[in-house]
Amino acid sequence: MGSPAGLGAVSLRAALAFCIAALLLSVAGALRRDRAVADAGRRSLAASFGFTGLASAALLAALFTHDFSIAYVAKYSSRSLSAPYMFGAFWGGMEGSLLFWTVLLTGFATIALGRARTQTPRLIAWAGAVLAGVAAFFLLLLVLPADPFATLSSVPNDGAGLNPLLQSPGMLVHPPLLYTGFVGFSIPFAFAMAALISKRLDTAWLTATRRWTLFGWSALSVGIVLGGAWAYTELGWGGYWAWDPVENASFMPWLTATAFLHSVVIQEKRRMLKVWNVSLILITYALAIFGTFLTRSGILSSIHTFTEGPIGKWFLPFLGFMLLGGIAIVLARLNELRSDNRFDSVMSRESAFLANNVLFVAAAFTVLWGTIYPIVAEVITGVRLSVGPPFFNSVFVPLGLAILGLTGIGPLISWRRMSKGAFSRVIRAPLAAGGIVVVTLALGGIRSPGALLAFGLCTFTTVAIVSEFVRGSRVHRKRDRSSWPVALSTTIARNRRRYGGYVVHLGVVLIVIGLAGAAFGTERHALVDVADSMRVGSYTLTYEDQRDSSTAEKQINTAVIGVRKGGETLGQLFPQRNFHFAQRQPQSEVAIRTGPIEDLYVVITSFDQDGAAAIRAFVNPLTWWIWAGAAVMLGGMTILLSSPAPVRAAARVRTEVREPAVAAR
Amino acid sequence: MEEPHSTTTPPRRRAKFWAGGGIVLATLAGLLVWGMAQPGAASQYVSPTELVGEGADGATEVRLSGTVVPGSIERQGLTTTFTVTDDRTDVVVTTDSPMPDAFKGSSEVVAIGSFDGETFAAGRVFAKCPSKFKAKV
Repeated sequence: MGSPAGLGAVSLRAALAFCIAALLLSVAGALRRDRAVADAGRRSLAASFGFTGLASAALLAALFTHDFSIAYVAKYSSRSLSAPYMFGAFWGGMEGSLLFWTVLLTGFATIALGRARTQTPRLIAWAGAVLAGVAAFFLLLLVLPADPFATLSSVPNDGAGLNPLLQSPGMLVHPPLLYTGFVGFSIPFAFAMAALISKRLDTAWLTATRRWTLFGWSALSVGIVLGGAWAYTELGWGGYWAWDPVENASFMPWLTATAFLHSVVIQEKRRMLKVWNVSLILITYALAIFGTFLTRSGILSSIHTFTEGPIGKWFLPFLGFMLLGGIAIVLARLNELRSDNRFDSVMSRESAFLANNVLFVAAAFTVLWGTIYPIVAEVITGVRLSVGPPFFNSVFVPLGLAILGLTGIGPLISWRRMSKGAFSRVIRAPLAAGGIVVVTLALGGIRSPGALLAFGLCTFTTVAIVSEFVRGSRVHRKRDRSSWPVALSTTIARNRRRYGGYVVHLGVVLIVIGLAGAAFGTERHALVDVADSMRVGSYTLTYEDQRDSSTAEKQINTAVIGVRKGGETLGQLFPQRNFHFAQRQPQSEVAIRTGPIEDLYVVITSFDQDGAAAIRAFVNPLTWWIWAGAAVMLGGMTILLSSPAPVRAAARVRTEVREPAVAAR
Repeated sequence: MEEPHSTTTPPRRRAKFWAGGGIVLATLAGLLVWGMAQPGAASQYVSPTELVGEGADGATEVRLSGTVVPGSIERQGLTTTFTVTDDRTDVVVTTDSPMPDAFKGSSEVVAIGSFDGETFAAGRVFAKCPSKFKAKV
């Protein structure tokens, strides 16, 4: 009991007990409409959070004190591992990452339920029950098949250490952000289910959880981009996204969550798409759980699946129960979920939102298809397959471009209905700008139709969004007689949800520019002797020297590469090929010269005995814009998240039209 | 308030909805089928025994998975040659691609490429890495 292992094991069991108590009390409170009982359930879940937190502290303490009697500590850390990466080790393995998931879940649940106390008691009681149910499942995993505090009979002198690839700053923030995103969706999911169970199917559950959805989505977005940045700077294959199942696992819920973020706007403004919205959040959460299952079960041989764990058989029944239960309750409530309004015209913002939703869900289905096709094919035909990037890229280019186009069109169209004349007036300028860019680039020698279309649509969308900012600012400038910058900031501050969204869209446009740049990349792989040179694109790389040094963890072999372009010396790059002692494994450290026009990306793939270096070099045009776009997106998310808490805004929207129930059928 | 579509009766709306939905679904299905037909979209995993047993055309891209025979790795310039086995059949793999960090004797690898009956020409080689962290504990 005095040891971290004992403390951790006891804490987890206490957390599970409180969690089950929370589940029972919440259900009882909801059924008997007894607020005091439901409140006891809420506090019980908070206690469960306390004990999960204690267990996490115990695991961290064990990591920092090198308590190798705990199998997890021995497996994922070592004495030479530096302090920050002890946190990496905390969520680097299956057991620790599940504990991390659970502490986030119970923590978020405690905060969300506490904040939503102004809502209908029955809604909170059922939401608490759903959250406690999910948390109980994860705690059960931690107590039974995935115990992070399992001990070893013979205590090793040192641990195996953390995978050197995971020892990078990006890996300290990427997994927590993904998990924050996944777990953040628990809150809207739980409230949606609660709304269905308690028949409180107005927009209360949406407004109560809107910030959680945004928060989870923002964390997931940043997490995915950071994962790409990590792959780009660490893995050394020159790219940032490989359609690996683990990447897909985080991308699928992101796609459906993005659809959800947009479609809730229609429900709030027009009381439509209610079935669609509860279904979307159900699918999003199921995909988040499925993603965790994919990465943790080892069902797919992914190059970075951490482990072929024993928890797959636990996840599938849980996922099945969640999906079937969710679908059953949605079907049972179809009558209550009927739309109050209907689509008036194809030329309306509702339709644009709906089209956006269809495309995002289609994109998610595409990823799901490519990800699980190998499993299904193996079950049916016995043949093991792998679906690769050519499939995903070829389907995603048209889907992505259509979404990009809608991003530009959406803000231009008015709610309910727009005449063709009015539509052609607002679309004229963006369309012309896009056309000019396409023609200019085509005359400039760009032949890739996908890239031309991408750049054209990026221009179209940018002009459309910027014109929205100009229009808004013009109004404030006239009314307040203020300068343009003041008018612009007033415009954004007054309607953060709308303009924050537009800023996010601008970020997406920049990211698409960066992605399109991949169509023009070049790559060379060559064996170069000291003082010799190789060419890649318009660069000349000279292998000037090799320098060796070593630390306690690794031997460092650095190549000194002189970079020249068109006779001009641009400086030196220092890619490394290192050898990690603990893992007995070599690892390449990439050297990148980055800029808005193009990146020069250099990797040493091996050093020969005679001193020659195998150098792999890439010229990656426009990749810089992906990270710049992500930064702009983050700015937009900050604006969105800073928008004041909604005060049932939907109730006073002018577009609200109630129609007789007969007409809605 | 106005009743915008009083001329459109519910059955007609429903028919329109299903027609529109059908077109959307058909387009998406077509997109998926087209995507799966792209070269390299789906490739089959084979063991050395299956690879040799099935014969070779030197063109179909497959994923050869097996264990690297210790001591079989030879490097010449950028070209790496090694033997992959499933303990029954050995296949010689040759590649110009950079080798993964975890690649060494007796590591499990997946080589993507095609077989001409004698050697397997791989465009890319992956090593499965997690096992080695496990084996040491």
